[in-house]
Amino acid sequence: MPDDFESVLGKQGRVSVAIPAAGAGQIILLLNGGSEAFTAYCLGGEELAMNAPAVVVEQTGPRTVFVTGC
Amino acid sequence: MFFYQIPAPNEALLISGSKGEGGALFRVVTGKGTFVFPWKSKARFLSLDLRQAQINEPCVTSQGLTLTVQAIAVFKVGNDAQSIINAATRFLDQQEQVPQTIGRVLAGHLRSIVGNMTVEDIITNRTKLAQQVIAASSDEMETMGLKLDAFQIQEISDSAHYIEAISSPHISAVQRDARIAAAAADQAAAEKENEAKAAVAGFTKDSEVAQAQAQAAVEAARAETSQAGPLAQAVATQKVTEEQAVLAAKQAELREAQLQSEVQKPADAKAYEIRTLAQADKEANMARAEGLAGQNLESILANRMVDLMPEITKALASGLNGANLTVLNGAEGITDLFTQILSQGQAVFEAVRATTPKLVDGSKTPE
Repeated sequence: MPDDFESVLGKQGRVSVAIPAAGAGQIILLLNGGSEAFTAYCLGGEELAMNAPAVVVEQTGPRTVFVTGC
Repeated sequence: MFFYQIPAPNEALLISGSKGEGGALFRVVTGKGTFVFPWKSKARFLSLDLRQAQINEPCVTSQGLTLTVQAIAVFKVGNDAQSIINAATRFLDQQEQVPQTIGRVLAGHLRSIVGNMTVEDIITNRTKLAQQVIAASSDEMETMGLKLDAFQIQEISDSAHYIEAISSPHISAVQRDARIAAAAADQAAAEKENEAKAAVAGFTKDSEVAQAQAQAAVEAARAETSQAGPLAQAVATQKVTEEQAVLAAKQAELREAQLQSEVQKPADAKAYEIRTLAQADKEANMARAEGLAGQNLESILANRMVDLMPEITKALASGLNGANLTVLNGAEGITDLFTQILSQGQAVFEAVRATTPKLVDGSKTPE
């Protein structure tokens, strides 16, 4: 991972598309001085409603993260 | 300038010729400048701008209903190094064709999205639509180093008029409510209008009644006024008549007075005169009679005879007329005759005196 880009791990964001138990949602994170949307999955069958706060616990792709509610 | 390259804010500087950090195929520089030496590196720029793709695709819903969906997708190259590397290796030289290519890919995604949803969900369930978009496209887009910023369905064409059918009950209910409301409003308006008309009619009636009463009063006053002249004239005439009657009475009185003064008084005076004269005459006669009473009755008789002689003579003549007397002595004979008659007259006188004792008394004078 280049140093120019901030890591998303541990970042807290807001769920912009509800994350179902078996499926993808979307989370918006504050990153690199702006805000960026990431495709988000929940760990362990958790569900997160829209606008719920979430924390990134794992990054599986450049734009894909796993989150958990907080 | 002097091999110093600076990417624009919306650009990524890709420098090939050496491995990047973390085993990257090339160096990715954003937001700052760096020296690029042509004899050992090659620098290229990748735009990070938004790009958009228009999609117009027939889709089949989960109910088997065919819809023609028009959508717009807005996407960009991800801001992170991995996305930039993914994108750069795929379409660095084909940047102009990216929207078209991505549009085709997203059209396929749209079919799968619509195929997992019902028409009602597409129309109303925004969360499910967004989740389906992410589920269908995020992996492929990520692989291409792209991030879908927005994906919006703009229009749905429904050849089976399914959407109209969905909406018709609601439309009918809304139209029903609207008609009910309009009818109620019309009814209320009509009631108010009729109330207003009734009120106006009442006001008009009151006004006309008042006007008629005022007119009647005016007419009465006018009639009274117009009769005042003749009435006054009649009163005046009556007074004139009364005055004329009084005048006539006065004139009658005057006339009577005149008559009295002109006729009665003279008549009375005449009567008085006559009476007085008569009285005086009477008294004179009486006085004369008394005077005569002492005179010789014979002279009186002689006078009387003288007075009566013509009559007596006439009577004697009529007696002689029957005796068929013939005078033979001429004028002397007639004188003799008269002498005889006169002698007879003496005898008659004696006879008369015998038969008229009252004359001797002289109480009554022959007229």
